[in-house]
Amino acid sequence: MGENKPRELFKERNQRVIDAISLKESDRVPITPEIQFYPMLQKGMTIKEAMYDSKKSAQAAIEILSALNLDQVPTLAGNYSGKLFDALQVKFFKWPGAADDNQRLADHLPFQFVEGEYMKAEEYEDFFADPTGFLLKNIIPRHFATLAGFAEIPGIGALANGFVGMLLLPLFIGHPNVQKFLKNAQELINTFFSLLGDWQKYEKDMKKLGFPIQYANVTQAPFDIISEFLRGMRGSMLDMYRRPEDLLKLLDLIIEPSIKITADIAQFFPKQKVVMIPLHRGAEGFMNFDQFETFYWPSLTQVMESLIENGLIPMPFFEGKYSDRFEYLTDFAKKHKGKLIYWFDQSDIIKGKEMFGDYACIRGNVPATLLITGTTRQVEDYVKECIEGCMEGGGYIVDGGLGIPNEAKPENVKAMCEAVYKYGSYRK
Amino acid sequence: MSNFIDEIVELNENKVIEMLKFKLDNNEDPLAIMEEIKEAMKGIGERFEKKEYFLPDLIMSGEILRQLFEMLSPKLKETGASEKKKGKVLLGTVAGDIHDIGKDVVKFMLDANGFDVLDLGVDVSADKFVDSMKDYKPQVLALSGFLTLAFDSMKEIIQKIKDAGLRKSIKIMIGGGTVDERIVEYVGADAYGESAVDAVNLVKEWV
Repeated sequence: MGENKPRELFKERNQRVIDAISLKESDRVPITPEIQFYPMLQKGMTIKEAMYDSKKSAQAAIEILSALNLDQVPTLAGNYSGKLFDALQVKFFKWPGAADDNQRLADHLPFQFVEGEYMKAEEYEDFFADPTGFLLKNIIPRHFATLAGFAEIPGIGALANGFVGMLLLPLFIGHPNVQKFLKNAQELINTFFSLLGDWQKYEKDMKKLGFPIQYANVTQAPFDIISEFLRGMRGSMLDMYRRPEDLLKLLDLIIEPSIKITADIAQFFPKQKVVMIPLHRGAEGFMNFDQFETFYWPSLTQVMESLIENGLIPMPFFEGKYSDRFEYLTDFAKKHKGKLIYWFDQSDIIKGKEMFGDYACIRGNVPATLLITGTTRQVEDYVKECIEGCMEGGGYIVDGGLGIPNEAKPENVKAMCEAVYKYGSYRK
Repeated sequence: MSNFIDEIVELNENKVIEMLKFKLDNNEDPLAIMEEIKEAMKGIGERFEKKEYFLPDLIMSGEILRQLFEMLSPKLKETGASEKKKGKVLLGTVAGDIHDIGKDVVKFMLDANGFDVLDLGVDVSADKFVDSMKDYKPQVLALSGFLTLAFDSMKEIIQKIKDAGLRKSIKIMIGGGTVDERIVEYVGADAYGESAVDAVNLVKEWV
């Protein structure tokens, strides 16, 4: 292997994905699977270990993923760290190895979201009156117990008036919860930067081997932000009936800041254009078309539109089923030809190719159930069918519906990759 | 007042509460009111089957029904009547998984269709399922799971049910976000439901 080989491979692999997004046929259909803990489990680690030993995790990911000869590899920054969760005392996840008994799951389980009404229905008014103040003082302490002291931040009277501030700010800093936080602050910072270092090193190591990273930036649909981190699923859905105006106002309020933070983060990764947008509560079965049209889709498309205007490439991940929403997806894709990726889990991508394949790059969707329980032959047949149905004119990237699931059989993962090399070539 | 049922089905919360107050103030027979509510639950279930109602609507109807039952139950207790159910279903999210959205929808739909449901909650172990089967004696076991790890949990639960000699006496259905027909064979269940409507139809077929 020549000195420049990995560098050339890096460019070639990246270009393959760029071509697919731009709806151009390159030499072959690219394959870029997402992961959660598959490589770590393959190396015999428990999920607890994977969440607490970022160096060992990175090593496992490099070893397992590089052997698959992928076109792009996942970032590890999304793989969450038990150490960071502990340092912040995260309340909206449970995970293996958590220091807090209430948040702890068994060592072999992945972290899981804790559904909760983090903001009460009666608090809409407080939110609208002072969004930043409300989030700092009321929501942050509920999400992160370490930051409970934020609840003590003095009101605007003390913050605006230097004289009052001189007296009240020391009281704030002296509050036991703030003092406790300050004692542990350095440890939190160290934890974070050490993780960041490990993640960056992983990306550099992958680059040396010739593997680009898929994406570095993530945002969410405004409705999901409200439904997951503020009102809870129950609360947000009751709001559709009981206070639709408040819900719509809050959705509106969240759009611009979401775009801004995503665009700001993108500045740190000038070469990473793709923004992954995991979608949760807009799927088939969750809400009807009216509700989808009113509360879910408009704010999401506004976010995606602005990201595109900022030169970024939105990649909504349509987890679950979305086939019955394909009309909406088609309308949006038509306006943004070659500027986005639609990643599917359990939708009918062949039908999707017919409807919006000329406008949007499709990614997916080898079923998790197939990778876990199927035979290599079944996996090969499935990938072949997807490639044959979606490859024409470019615009198709192979991945699992849920990436490579933790419990996938390694022979099936290999079969998925090999099927791409076998059937994915464009004969020019 | 004949549109009490319709108002419930339409999920007009304030209107429905007001109407029930009026009925109670006028000493209407609580059992007759209960029949109307049950009729309304059937109507809500039908809208769900027709894909007009989804989670927001089920959550809202759950909220309305909760308030109605709270208002009605003191009067119902006075009558001493108890209703007869069509069959028993044991339900739970399997070990390792703490998701409950899908499970709760299935529970709602089975309730609405007149079945007796014992919900064991989330992260339910094989032993707990087996013990509950012995005590509760359901005709159907419904296993829910959202994460892919649920497949192996379901498999283990069904194995333990076999080991306890209880497999022949029960029908087992599975469901949840990532579950599909491939998993039925893998775990040794009888069927899988893609939606809560499938779940109800399976139970109707089996009981």
